[in-house]
Amino acid sequence: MARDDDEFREFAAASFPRLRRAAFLLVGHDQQAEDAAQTALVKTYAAWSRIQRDDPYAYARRVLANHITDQWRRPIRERTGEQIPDRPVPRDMAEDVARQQWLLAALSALTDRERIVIVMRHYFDMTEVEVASVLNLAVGSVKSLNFRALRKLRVTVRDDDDLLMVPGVAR
Amino acid sequence: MTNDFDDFRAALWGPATAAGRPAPLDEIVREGRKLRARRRLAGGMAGLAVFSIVVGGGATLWEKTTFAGPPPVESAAEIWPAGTWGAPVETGMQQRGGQVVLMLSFLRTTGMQSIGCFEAADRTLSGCRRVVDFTERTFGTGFHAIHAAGPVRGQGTLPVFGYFMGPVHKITARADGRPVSAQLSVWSEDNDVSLFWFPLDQVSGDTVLTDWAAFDADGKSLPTGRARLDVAGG
Repeated sequence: MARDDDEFREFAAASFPRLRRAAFLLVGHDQQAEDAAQTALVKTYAAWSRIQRDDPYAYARRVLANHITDQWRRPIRERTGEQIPDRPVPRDMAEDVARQQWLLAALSALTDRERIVIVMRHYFDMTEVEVASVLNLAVGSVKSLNFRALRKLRVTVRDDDDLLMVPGVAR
Repeated sequence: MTNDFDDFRAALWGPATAAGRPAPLDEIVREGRKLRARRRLAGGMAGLAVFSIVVGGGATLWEKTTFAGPPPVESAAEIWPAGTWGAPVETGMQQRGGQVVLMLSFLRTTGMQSIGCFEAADRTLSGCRRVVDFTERTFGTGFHAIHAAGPVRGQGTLPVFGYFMGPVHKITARADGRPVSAQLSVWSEDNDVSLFWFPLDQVSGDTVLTDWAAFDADGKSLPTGRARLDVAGG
């Protein structure tokens, strides 16, 4: 048991910053993000004996996503009228701050589903199949959400990025 | 203006200099243990509330096994038989030379009701336990695993007991119309779970308990849950 705890502590210490960052991208609030990451790790600990030999990080990601989507508990928002702000042109030492401000404003203009798909796909680097499994969506829906979100964000993608291959959707 | 995909991903990753406080590992582990305990209690591992009458030494044995020598042993598993879950609670009630203790333990078999004996490590802690059929799979605020008062073969009488999930401070009921209060003890493994019992001098085996109520520290009424509350002695 003590060894299991040691292993969990090592895992938690290593994964906490990334879980917190993902949560921050989803909720846009430092304290809420920290709470969400902590909750994900608490639940991961509770299941540790079952998952530690499998993929605990995948489990923690899934718990985090479910926790946050449970918190939203509201109809899917479609805020098509909202404008994505232009990304600031970096000029000085404040580039990081400015870029983060732009990012949060841009993400907040997405629907909840679009936002979580973006974070899971492009921050967690999860495959569309994995995202679909966690969110209980069809893979095609994940592709569509990803496509729409990137388009709203005005993110340009190279041909070889293979990110906008949505059947029936012309580039 | 459009945004380059690589720039966008870099923004997602955040500033390289960004740093927050480290993971609160002690708190995470502590809360994780509580959550794990709750899940097990919810039925996944057949958590069973057990009242045990300790005989052949009773309180003496209890004191000796629990508090012998500094520092106090924290792991109940080192004191009690394998499968015992958390620290047993002394009720102070004596039965046939032994003290009644309330404890939770795992049984490998789900849904059974039985009376059995057990041993504590190399010390014989011969006692009988009356197993509560843990059929309340729904786990939530309120009363759970309430067991009627009644005799245990050759060991005396056990009181009404059970556990309450939630911030309970006081439990009351009516015993054949008389107001009575339960004794409470916060479970060692999760302070949201309280073990309770009604002393036999208030609620005997042939008493019918009605009007169950639970209150928090501010006197606010708590949900009673879905357990059967029309308890009568056996």
